[in-house]
Amino acid sequence: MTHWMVLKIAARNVFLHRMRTLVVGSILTFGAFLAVLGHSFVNGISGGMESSTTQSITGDIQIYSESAKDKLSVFGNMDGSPTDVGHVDSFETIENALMKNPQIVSVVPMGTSFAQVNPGNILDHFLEKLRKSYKTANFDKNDVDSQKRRIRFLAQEIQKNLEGKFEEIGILSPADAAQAKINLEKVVHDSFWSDFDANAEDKIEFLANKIAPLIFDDNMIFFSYVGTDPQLFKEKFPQFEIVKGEMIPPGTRGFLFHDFFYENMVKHRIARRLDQIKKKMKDDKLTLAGSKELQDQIKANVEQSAEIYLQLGPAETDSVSQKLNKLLGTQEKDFRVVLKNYLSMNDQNFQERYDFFYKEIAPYVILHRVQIGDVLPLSAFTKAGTSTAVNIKVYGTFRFKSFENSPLAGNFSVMDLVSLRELYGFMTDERREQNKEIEAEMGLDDVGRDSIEDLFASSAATKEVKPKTKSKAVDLKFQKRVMGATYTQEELSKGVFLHAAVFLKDPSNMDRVIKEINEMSKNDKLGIQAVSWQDAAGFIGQMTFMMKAILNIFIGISLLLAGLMIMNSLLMAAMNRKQEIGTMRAIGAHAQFIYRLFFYETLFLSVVFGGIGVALGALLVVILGKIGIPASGDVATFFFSGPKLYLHLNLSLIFVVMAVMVVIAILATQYPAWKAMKISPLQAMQKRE
Amino acid sequence: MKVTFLKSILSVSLIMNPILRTWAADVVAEKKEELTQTQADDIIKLVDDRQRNSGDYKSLVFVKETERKKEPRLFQAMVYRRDGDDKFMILFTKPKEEAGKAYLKIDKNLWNFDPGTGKWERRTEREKLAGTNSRRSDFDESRLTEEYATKYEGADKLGDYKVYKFKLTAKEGKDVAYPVLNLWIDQADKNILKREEYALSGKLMRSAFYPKWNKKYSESKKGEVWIPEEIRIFDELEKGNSTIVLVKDTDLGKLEENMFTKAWIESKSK
Repeated sequence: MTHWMVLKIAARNVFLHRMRTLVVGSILTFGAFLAVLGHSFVNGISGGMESSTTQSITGDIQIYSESAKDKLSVFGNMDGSPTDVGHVDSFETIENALMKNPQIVSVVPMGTSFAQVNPGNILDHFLEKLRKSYKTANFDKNDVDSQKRRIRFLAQEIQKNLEGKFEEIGILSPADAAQAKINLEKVVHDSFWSDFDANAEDKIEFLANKIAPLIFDDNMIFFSYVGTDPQLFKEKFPQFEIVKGEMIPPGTRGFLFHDFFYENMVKHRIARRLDQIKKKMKDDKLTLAGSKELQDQIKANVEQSAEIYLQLGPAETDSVSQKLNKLLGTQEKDFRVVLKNYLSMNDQNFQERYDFFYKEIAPYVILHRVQIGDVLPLSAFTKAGTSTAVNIKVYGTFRFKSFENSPLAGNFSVMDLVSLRELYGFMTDERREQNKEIEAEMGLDDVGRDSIEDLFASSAATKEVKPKTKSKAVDLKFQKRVMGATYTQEELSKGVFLHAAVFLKDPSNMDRVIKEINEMSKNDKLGIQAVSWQDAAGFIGQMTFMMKAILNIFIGISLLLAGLMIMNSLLMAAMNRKQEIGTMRAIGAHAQFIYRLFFYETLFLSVVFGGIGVALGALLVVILGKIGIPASGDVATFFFSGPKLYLHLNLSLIFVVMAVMVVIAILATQYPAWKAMKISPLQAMQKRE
Repeated sequence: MKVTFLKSILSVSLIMNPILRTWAADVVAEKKEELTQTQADDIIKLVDDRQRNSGDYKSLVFVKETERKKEPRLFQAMVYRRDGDDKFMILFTKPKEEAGKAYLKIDKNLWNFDPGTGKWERRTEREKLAGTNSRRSDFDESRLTEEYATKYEGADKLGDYKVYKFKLTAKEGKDVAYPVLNLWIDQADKNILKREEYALSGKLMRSAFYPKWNKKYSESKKGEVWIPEEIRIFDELEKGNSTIVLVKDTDLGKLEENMFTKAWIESKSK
């Protein structure tokens, strides 16, 4: 018997039992389709997350202190708190040791954490400006008067804003609300302003302490940052590019916002929403009429119109009001009403009003709460809840090419490692010396937590104590301390770091190199440990692993189901075709022939229907690779590492899926074929009788 | 600049107020160890009243802050208060990096000044300070009687001192940082010797010890004031973290009229 004849018989059986073929075939088609599409999808997501993580922050491997309290997670814990990974003493020593490994291309020192900046509310901003003006000798009277008019106008706006709403707001107690009303009445009155110049300092303090807190604006900016060697960081993360401003000059302390963060979190709220709407309309072809998401953004803009009218001065309000009325073709006198009407945009007028915003309104509002070139007082917190602060200049914004819109790659802003060390609270030798002096002056008893009650032993407590030493007189004249604006490369290299990114020649050797680093650390007592980028990415890294695992389980179950159904149907076929098989055996067919018959039948099913499934899946992947899957909402944008996910067809995946189909055919054939092979001609005859 | 440091200084300064000796006389006369609810309430009221002061206050404060696995950080600062107007100021004097930095509290505004940038930063009402659960309201004066219900838990000993032990539980609707407090109060002088602060879950968060008190005569009060000279605070969550505050050279005399202003603080840094 030739294989060809067996194949023909198998094919005949397949066509003969059409219903069975259809059911089993559909399951096989679905399994293969799902395997190709699902894997391409998950690979697209995990690939995007991998590259947006490794090429923006983690590198291929991360190293950190062996005695770290927590596991390193550069994105922080799930609850948003930073991980406590301790620190490693000298970057130079570690770098020199690691560079001996021929697989390692470079090491970038780092420390990731969270920080905050509080730029204050709009009245704080104007008052500070006015104070500065008064402090300059021969200040421009006209300019100061115009500033005062703006502040008075703002106070009137605050009064209008809160009218009848004091109780609603609920933040103020009834007594505070009553006082706030009196204070507002006072500052909008002429008498407050008539002698302003003579008592400027007092008046400004009154406004700052009594009126500014009535703007209930949460203006705090929280962000993640990485402290590093900025030049090395730029060089080793090749996608890095400056968008606004300039790169931090070599050897200089400085800060760069990630442009994604700067445009999405630091920018004026109304402006940023208009930008987002425009982008979605252009890129995703969304319409205001058809998208709830865009409608919500328009609604938020209308509700927060105070973000515009509180920032405009009286003259600007008049001018913008006139232009708005002209644009809208109305005669509305109340600026707030006309502004709200303007902000209620639809598909027809969006572009015109968007352009109007940037031409006529943007020049008068604070478009970014932090300006490029500002010196930021930046505070950061340790896990224990203590805070430290440094002053640092914002040089510009940056992004990673091809990850411009990835929230993951846009997660970190960058600062120099020397400033990070200061924020983190590392001691300098100078500070240590001063510590000793202060401690000597304190003259403390050395009592720890365990022996604290010794302090209550008879003598000291609640009795009048004469100070052991009279403290040195305190001089209250301070030299304004100029923050160290520069540092040497040596200072940067020799000092501590929290963790570091290691780049490899060939990232596929990651596991091997991790082992080598850990062994080297053990042998040479380097005190470090190495982890893969997935581990260092913490829950982000785990997520890609979980997604792959869930998909594989799902595909596995559907293929197992298909296998079982094939086996079951073949078994039924074997029982139904007892006589046929018995007859074949009687006329000399070998057991081997029967086995082949069943195997080819299954192979035919698997290859044909698996092939259809693979072809359909591949076709869809190719189509989605061209048009992209739009991300709806922030979560999808996060997972897609951008506004769209483009799938790529991996040819090896097709071979793998087809191979799996063959394996299923082989496995599913075994039991029914074995049963069929056991049918003897005698059995078949007996049955007939 | 550390916030626990701020809190420590604040808690010290809050206890600085004059004791109304007439109040004290009643309670001191009570020598037996069992207290009625009224007597217990009176003692806590006394603790509160010590923290209310209409006069001015100035002292030199030292702080040693120790964090687990880190080198301790030490600070020296001047603390000024004008309780009548609800004004408060900390001016850092040492080390050099911190010198000239200041906190200024006027009403409910808390301002932070950094001479390096010359900028004033506002701390907002709703802001949680430094990622801890402390809010600006923590900086207000002590209102134990108003905010807590007192329960006398019996006499105890702390070292060689006979103390009354109280458990204070926050009254309903009162927004307090710690819903339960345990206080150990010296039977003889009615000074707090130990204070434990608990979270709602019943977890001990901080313990503070007040081993040294000093007596000062206040001209504005025409009476004596007890001042804690030393406070040792232990973080019970992050074991190994502690803060020691020393208060020296306290002066209850009148301060310059224009002191609690941004201009005064700025004028100190040239």
